[in-house]
Amino acid sequence: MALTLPQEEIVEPPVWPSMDDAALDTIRVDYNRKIDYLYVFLYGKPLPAVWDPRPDGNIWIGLRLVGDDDWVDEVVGIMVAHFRRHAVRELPRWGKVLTATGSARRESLRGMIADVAAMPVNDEAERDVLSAR
Amino acid sequence: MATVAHWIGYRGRPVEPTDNGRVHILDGHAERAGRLTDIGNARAFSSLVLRDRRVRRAELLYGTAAGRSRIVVVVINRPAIVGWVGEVWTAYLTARTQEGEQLWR
Repeated sequence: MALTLPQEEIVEPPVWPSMDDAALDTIRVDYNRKIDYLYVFLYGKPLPAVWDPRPDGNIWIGLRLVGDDDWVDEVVGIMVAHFRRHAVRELPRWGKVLTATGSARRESLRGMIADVAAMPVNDEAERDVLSAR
Repeated sequence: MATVAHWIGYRGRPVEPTDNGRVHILDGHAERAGRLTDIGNARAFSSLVLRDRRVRRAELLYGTAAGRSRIVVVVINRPAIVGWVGEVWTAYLTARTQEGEQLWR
């Protein structure tokens, strides 16, 4: 008799666009001072997205929406809540994405994208918590 | 700052979407264009409310999932003569509920 093993759902990691200097120069950074939210639009403008939180609860990545209720794993943006109140205090180098120009801006954006890409998704964090018990 | 509508939130408090919040939502969340009425749907506010981790007066209101995703409306409460009034800061789609202090379910 053939047995079927239970299938585990595999969560695919998000796919980040490759960012050369020309691509970095087209990135749009918006900061809303009133609500202290920062947006990094990787394709130069806001694209429809579903926002996926990182474990700290203040940072989301936008996954490209391809229908009313369907999306792909391609990252199109970063959203940071409490940017000056919290994020810049934790990671002061992020503040330069608003103030730097030219190569310094590219470098700060490259660093911020790398920082966010290295953050675990919530599922991973929850598994880590469970395995530590 | 103009108030563009008056709604009642999950605890009976007034919730005011402002033109500032509306512009922010349309500027930053292209997926919400043409769907702002979702935010005003009081039933959409009713499934789950979490307290913001950094700002105690801020709340995340999770709408009822209609499919794989659900709307999150971020509301900041401020004192007013009539009591606490909520102001909509932003709104976006998500497929995952983040961890946080649950205020209402």
